[in-house]
Amino acid sequence: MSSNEMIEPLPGALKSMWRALKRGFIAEPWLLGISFGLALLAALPDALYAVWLGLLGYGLIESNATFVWIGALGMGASATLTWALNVISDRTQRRFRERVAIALESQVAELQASIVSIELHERPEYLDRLSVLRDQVFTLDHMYMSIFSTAGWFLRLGVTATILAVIHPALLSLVLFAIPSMASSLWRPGLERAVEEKHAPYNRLARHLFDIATTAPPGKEIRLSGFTKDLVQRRRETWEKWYRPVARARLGSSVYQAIAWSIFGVGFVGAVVFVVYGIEAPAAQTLILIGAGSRLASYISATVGELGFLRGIWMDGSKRLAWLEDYAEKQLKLGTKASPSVVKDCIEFDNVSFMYPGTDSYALKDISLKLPTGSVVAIVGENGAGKTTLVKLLAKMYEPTIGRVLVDGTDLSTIKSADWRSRLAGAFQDFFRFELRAKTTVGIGDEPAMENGTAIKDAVVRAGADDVIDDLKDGLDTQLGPNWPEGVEVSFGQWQKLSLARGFMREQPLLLLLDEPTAALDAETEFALFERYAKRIRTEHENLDETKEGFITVLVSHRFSTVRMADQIIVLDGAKVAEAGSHEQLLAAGGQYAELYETQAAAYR
Amino acid sequence: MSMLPQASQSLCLLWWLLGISRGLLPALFVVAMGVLVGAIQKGESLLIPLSLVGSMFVLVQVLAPLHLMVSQNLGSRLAAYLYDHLTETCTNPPGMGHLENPKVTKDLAMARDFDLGISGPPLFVSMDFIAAGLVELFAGLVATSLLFGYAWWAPLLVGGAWLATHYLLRESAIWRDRETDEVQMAQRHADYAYQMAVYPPASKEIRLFGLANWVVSRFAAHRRRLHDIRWEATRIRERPLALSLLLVTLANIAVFISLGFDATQGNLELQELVIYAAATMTASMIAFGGLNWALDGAAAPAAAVLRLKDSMTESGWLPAGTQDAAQLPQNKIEFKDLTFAYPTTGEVTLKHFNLTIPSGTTLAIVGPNGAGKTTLAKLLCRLYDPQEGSIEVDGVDIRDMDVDSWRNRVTAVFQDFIRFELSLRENVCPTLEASDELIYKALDRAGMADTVALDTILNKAYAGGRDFSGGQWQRIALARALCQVYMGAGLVLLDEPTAQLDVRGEAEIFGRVMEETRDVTTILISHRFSTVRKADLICVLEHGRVVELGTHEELMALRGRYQTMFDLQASHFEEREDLDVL
Repeated sequence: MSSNEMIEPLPGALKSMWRALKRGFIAEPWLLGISFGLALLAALPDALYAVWLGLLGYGLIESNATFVWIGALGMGASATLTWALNVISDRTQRRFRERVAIALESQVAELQASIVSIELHERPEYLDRLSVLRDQVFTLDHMYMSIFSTAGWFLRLGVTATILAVIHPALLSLVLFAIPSMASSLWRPGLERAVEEKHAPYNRLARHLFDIATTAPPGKEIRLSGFTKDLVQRRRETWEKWYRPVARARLGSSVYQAIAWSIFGVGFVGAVVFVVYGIEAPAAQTLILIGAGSRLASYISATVGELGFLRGIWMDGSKRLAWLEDYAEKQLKLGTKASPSVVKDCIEFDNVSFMYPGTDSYALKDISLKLPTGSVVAIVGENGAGKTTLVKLLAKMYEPTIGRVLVDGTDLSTIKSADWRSRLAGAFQDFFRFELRAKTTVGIGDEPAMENGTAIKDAVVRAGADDVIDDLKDGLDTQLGPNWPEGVEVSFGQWQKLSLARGFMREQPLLLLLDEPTAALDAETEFALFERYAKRIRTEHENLDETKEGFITVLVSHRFSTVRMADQIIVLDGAKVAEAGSHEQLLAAGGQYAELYETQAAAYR
Repeated sequence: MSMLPQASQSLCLLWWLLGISRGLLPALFVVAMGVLVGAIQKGESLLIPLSLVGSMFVLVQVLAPLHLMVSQNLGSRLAAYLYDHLTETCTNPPGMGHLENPKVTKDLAMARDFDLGISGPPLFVSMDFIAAGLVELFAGLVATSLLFGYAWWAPLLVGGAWLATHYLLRESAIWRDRETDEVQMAQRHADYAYQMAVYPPASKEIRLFGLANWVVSRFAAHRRRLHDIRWEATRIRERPLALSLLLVTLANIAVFISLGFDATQGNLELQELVIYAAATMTASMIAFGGLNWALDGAAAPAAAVLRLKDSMTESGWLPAGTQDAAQLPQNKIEFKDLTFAYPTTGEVTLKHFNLTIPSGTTLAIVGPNGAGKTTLAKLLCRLYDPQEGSIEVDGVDIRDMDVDSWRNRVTAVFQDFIRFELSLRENVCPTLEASDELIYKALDRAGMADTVALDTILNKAYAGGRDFSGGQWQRIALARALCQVYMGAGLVLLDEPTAQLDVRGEAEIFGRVMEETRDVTTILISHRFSTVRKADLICVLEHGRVVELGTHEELMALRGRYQTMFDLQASHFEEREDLDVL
């Protein structure tokens, strides 16, 4: 993935994990402490296995009954305590992890939802990076368990190493034989992740095909086109393209691991030979060695396995989270000024050019425009001319690549995004179908007024969506979306009206952005809607005094019936402004606008 | 478990083989250890015992990573198998009921996300947990059986005590209430809120309206509720735990006291004592633990996927006809006294609906939102069957036709057409049956000639991919329908095909599309009277009934609903003072 070079690398591993730990501590300090303590306590009894075994052997050989009894009862106690402590510790950790998971998932959701720019949602490099984090947030809470376990394993290792050193200090060199397996445990998981990420597009495509097969809207078309027959196979083939390299990487890892572990095995056999022949130790010491050695192997294997998990999955998650935090924070710093509540003079595009990050052609080029306060500005142009991009810049979802957007002379990029947004309202062509209760679907357009029934009803009426609500069996309380209990499906056009109502929720926005909000509506509705809107604007303008004025409407449309009502019409062509002016001026100019208008008008003569 | 061989036979076999070997090894190692120590004590030759200990030891170490790999790959394959199964379950039924019936889709929504790690780790992770759990259990049982060499009662006592923990703590292992409505709704609300927060479709509006906090607190509230229900249900209860602990302590004490007694009395040799003591300790691997949780977590979603099959097959079922639909319609399409209500809502969308469409003509359907226009299109595609009345093509009820054969005759552009994340070629002809020539022709007629190469993937998220605007996508959807016409489709349904097209697109492209579909029957659903007026026949639909029917001229002369609507739209293009309010 060469394009990955263009985005910033993930932050460092240890720092990210430390930050994740701190987050866990802040979320659940008590549970974290208790879980950690229990994990350590549960580690102890089992590590003493070799000691009991040795005592048993020693007691029998030397006919020392006390040692035999201590060994036998110690073993019994170890077995039961290990189990009991593990069950309790496991449960406590579970509680802790689930609590922390909620905190972490909320944080990931919040970070993603509150990050100012939507670049995150539109750029493939970020999408790849995020999709891993998004779908694997659950792994982050495993990280804590992993850290606890690792600490427990280290404790066991320490105890076992001490026992070995007591037999003979040279036995400590057994640890050296574990180096290859530790090394491969630390190296391979990262490699596996890289392979997975490299082939992630196949996995994504497989999911897309799966979505097409298993959801209703595409269901119609695939049945008609006969694509259903191929889908199972297509999905599977695509998935296999992801699976095969990943499975190969896993196979490679397991072979490396197996070889590394057989090296340790050889070392262990050598140690036994050394103890038996080298120092000619008695049977009891050999017993301790074998007992400790076999435990040592499983402890090392568990430790490196846990480290592998930490490195491969959990740590990766914490790095992504840390990156997301940094990204969000960086963006917050961009704008600090408070947003004005009205536009006194105008919003100005000062020689603005814009290129979507990761692409190499301009979506907007050398745009210089003035949107005067109190006006309705229409943007027209063919598909792909940059209309929606212009709206995105105004909503501060992107910053211009070159040039500035000025609000009464203040650079928009220095204004705090959240503040600016709270002064906006709008509706988009690609609106989201919020499957909630109808009143919430509309009400979220102005969160503070979400519970305000009157405000919601007003917005519904203004958007001409009252007929939609009247059709619903429980009116505004109806659950939308057929997948929910009691939920009803409404048509595409009805969804669009609700989205428009949502856009009309904010009473006095500074800027109203309407990006083809009525494309799916019928003739009568559209006409009634805009006539009413026009009337409202007119009365508002009459009632406003000088200081309160300052409201701009930006309307993207390719319907001239609507466009012609605007004070100013901007015609975009190939990322540039082709012409601008009122309907009459542009008709008189006989340029592109006049030509397009004539085309459409002719159809009705 | 029974699904594993279907996921991959060879991996499954390997998985079990490795598991059984790993289960046998700890007991064998204990024996080898005993023999070695015994030999040292007696001063016998150490070659054989030493090589036994060594090889057992190496095997234990080597098999573990191999087993892990097999578990991961088997888990992935099992997930793929379940995905295949679900895809098939969803695509096999000829109708649409199973995708739109809330009773079924509620389960489907849960099942679809079975491997995303929402309710538990994904299968490639949990298969390893299961493997480890099974190996432990088996190893514990094998080690316990070594005790039969010591005394008949010892393995029964120790093994029984450890096994009893499974029974005593069973309440805590399995979350029995996970299927209740309360749990499912909490889960779905949480998922939905999460999706709103993190997935692209809602991103613009979430930002514009500053909804981040709202959506996140909604998520957290539902999630916490879910967690509390689950915690309460699977809490470790104090009494069963105390009882379990008492049982295993007593059993262990009994066996170890007996061993100690025999050892101090000289009834046991060193190697026997070592083997039996180590075996008793190893027996604890039988105990309740990880396996119970891992199995439950992995089995539940798999079961949910399999369960769906029957309910989905039933609600998506359509009676299968046998008649061949080739070359139809030659003469006419008739809606005869048709009444239809969506099975889920029961609301009547079309009531005693009658309409005849001569073949080869273009019929436009206009009317307010919700008048039943799209439903007509769905019925014609036979995605649903009417409750009363029929649709007949040249006198043959479409229910008597072979479903595929009839659908082969029909093509459609729906309002919510698919945007395949595939190549341009596949977007125009998903089944890849058309030649590149036809694809170029279709693209050209839809106004999308020379944009990108046919192999370009139409989504920026893929390497070399490109994103298209709404209007461009609409042209591609039109090209897809045109391609089907070239391939022989006889009926074209266009549901708002120009809603996202610009002026030039509407006027020019649509004219060309109409030209290409001149010889076939075309049904056009539109709000745009500039396009509607060009149709041979116009039908005004209101509340599920035909209120006006005729050509543009006839309907204009009628001075009814059609004329009112047409004039309204046309008036925007006349210079009228009262409109210039802004």
